[in-house]
Amino acid sequence: MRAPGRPTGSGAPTTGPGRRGGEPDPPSVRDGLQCLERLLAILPLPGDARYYGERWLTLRAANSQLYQPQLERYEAVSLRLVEEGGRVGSSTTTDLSEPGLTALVQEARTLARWAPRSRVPFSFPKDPSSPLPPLPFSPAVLTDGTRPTEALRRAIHTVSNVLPGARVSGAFHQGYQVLAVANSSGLRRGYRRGVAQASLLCEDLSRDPPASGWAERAGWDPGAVDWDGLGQEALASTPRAAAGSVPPGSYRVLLAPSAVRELLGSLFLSSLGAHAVEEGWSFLCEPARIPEIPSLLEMKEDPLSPAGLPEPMDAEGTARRRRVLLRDGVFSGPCHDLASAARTSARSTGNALPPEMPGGPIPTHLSLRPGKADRQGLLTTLGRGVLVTRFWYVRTVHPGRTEITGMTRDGTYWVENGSIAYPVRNLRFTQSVLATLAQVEAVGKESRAVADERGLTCLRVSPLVSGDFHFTSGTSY
Amino acid sequence: MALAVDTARRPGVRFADARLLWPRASERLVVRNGQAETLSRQEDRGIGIRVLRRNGWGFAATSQVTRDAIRSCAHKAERLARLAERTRPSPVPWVEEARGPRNGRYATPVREDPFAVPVQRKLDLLREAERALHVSSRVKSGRASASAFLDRKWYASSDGASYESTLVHVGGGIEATAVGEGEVQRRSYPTSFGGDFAQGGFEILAGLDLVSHAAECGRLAQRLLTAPSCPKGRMDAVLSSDQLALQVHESVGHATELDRVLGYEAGYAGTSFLSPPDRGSFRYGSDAMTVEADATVPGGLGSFPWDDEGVPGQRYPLVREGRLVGFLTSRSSAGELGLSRSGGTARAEGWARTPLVRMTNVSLRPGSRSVPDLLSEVRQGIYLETNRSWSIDDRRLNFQFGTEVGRLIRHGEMQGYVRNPLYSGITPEFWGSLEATADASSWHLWGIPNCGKGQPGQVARVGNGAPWGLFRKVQVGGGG
Repeated sequence: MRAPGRPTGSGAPTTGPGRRGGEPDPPSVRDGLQCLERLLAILPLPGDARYYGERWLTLRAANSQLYQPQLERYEAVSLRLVEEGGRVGSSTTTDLSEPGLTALVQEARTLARWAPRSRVPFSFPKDPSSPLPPLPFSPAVLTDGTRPTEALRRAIHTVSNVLPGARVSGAFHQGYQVLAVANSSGLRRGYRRGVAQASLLCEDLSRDPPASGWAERAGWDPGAVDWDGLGQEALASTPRAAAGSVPPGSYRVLLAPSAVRELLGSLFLSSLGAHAVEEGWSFLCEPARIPEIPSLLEMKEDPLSPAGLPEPMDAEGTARRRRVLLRDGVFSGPCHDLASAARTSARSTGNALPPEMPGGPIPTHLSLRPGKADRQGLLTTLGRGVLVTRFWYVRTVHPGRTEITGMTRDGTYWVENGSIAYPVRNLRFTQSVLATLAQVEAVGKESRAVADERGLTCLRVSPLVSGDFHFTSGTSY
Repeated sequence: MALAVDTARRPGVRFADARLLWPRASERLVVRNGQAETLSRQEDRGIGIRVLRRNGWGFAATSQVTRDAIRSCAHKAERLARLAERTRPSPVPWVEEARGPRNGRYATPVREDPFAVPVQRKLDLLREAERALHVSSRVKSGRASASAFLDRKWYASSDGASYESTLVHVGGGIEATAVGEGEVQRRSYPTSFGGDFAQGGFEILAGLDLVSHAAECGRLAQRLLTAPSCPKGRMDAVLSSDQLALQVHESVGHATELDRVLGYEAGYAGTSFLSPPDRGSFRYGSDAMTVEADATVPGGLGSFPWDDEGVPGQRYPLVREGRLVGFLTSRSSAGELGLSRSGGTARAEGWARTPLVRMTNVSLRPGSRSVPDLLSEVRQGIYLETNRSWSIDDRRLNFQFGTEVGRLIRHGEMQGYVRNPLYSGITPEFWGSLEATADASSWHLWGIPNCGKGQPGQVARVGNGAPWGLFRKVQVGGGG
């Protein structure tokens, strides 16, 4: 299950893009801002608006074949306006025609009219004098599916050649995104970026129970996806021996980057947001209860790094910036958008999500400072315990204690004397995120960008060795 | 529509279909702590075109509903199908569909159009309910929400199906979050994660009577702060209708989706512990377990006249008296299993996504015993109600669920509350421990508006019904 996101629709482009052989040019920032100018021209109240222009190609692999290839184009506008008394209404449409934009304003106004008065109204920022930093961009995000299909096919062959009979699954998402933001105070900004996200699952069905391995990549240049490396890594994490059992209990763990991403996913990120603090369930509300976290763990919000999926501004047009989240065991204050900042006399940290997305501001570009240990060094530090490639279906058990539950998946191993001894059947865990961080003994030097399929969040994480991790039950596979 | 299908039907194309949504609209109202946190409406429109060549599928979608754009979109879908053929050496299985009415119109019966009801009326309802949650200062957060969805869809296929449908879905709920004693406790009504949903008009939301239930919701959230921890160990467990419905959703509904069983969702949503030969023989649970998929239930969130492959909605059993007898199927997956007909469960979110095998209304049938009679079977056990957290592995075997409410049961009587209850198990063992289900008076068809699956992600609105159920020797534990 997931929360609703941006509209998946597409609107009639009325911004007059050129045509190449019947195919409209991709939307530009200028197209987006022109569309928003038309909207603001008929906006009778303070407000801000976002233009999304996106193109996506998705190639799935299933049963070692290309499956459900799909193309999607959409343009949409979301409007948030403020009636007298700080009453806010928002609305979204893909109908970018004049009547469509007029209806959008009416919809948002109707909603705002009946909204309660805001206790602490916020104001929209003026256009800052400093321009947004340029982003790296690859034209490969606009290519058709031929090249990635061939790359995906090669990756499938790479795996199949080593493990005949293996079932290969995965997905490749290639996106071109334009976000433009304008408000009634004069702010006009936008950017375009590319998103590439690839994953590969290798299942050895000749084993009973089947064994599986996993690899994933994310970046802004689809042409730079290391498909061979992806296949090799999925293979490398696939167990080649019969899986043993580990009884439920507490074990030391080595968490691979994908597992670290799941550990630091939804609950932890939400806990660092202003809403969680305002609602009282974030661990930030009770600093005295936060366990001592070793200084080798340092986290920052790093939205501009080309090693991730850079974004120069948030959905309110506030410039995103690098910001320390955790240093020397001390967490910084929560992330803010304009509204939460106004309520708490803080400043927006540039972490606003679009108003149509629930949940409030969260860090979306969390970056863990890499350590010095290579893989063997991490295994040596672990000594004896469980190596986890990936977690699955992680859900909150207790938000205040950052307690989560989930399963291991796609390559779980028992490590003895600093060496991988044998694969083990998957395990369920119930564990506090903070307790895991507090027991970190080593951080790997590898830093890996891992993102969701549309690049809304992109974390840069490193493998971690941590102490007691509570595995509560096992499986038969 | 004809232009889309005709353009897509080029030489070598076995099947093509098109779905136009105009509009797909939604409205979401959220009141949190007296403030309107979200007042938003979204609307989009567009067309999705799917092409099946001999060995591969292609799908493309656009909102430009002009002749040129539709032709271009159809060509793209056909080109993608050619690309897909490069990786598949054998034909895509496919079953024909000729039964039932395949042309027509359907519209959800609506007494009050939820989009036409004044916002003030809806907000007044939510504000009053949210205000009533705050029974003390320990209730730090109150939340009342309501959503409405409208999908107006035209469908046409190259094998002659053609229909127009207008589905309207409405729902909402309330939740109180109490904080104190180092604890955070949440209590929701009528169920968690946004409440209950059904097909119909504003009358669905009004009928939930959120205001009348709000104060009790707040009181219980506060009370749970100081409740003792849930005991650990194996014990009898009685699951409420809403918790058991979610159990059905996660451990039966998803597990019987044939695309998962056949490995097509392995890369993301996962597979299933079931395999094709299990149909007709696999012992899923006890004799008390009968589960069916029914797309024809009036008012069900997972009800529809035709699926997104032009197949009429159907009712059929998945598990009969504990034995697996069916899967949720599409035309392609049914063909791969050698079935003569699709179960009509292929659905897509909106116009920009390709259809997947999805649940319809997948429900556990009620038994014949009253709830007091069911409870009288428990000497020492626990009652579990309203999901708080859920997690299940990628094969739908190993699960752990937490609930908002836990109450001890002694000699058939409900006793005091316990906090942070959890229970866990392995799917067939758990269903094998189902002693009995209560009668229809405890059965409810719950609407789940956010069932996720697929790449790119799709959210489906589905229904899951269940009565109260008694399970023996369940592993129960406390989250502290």
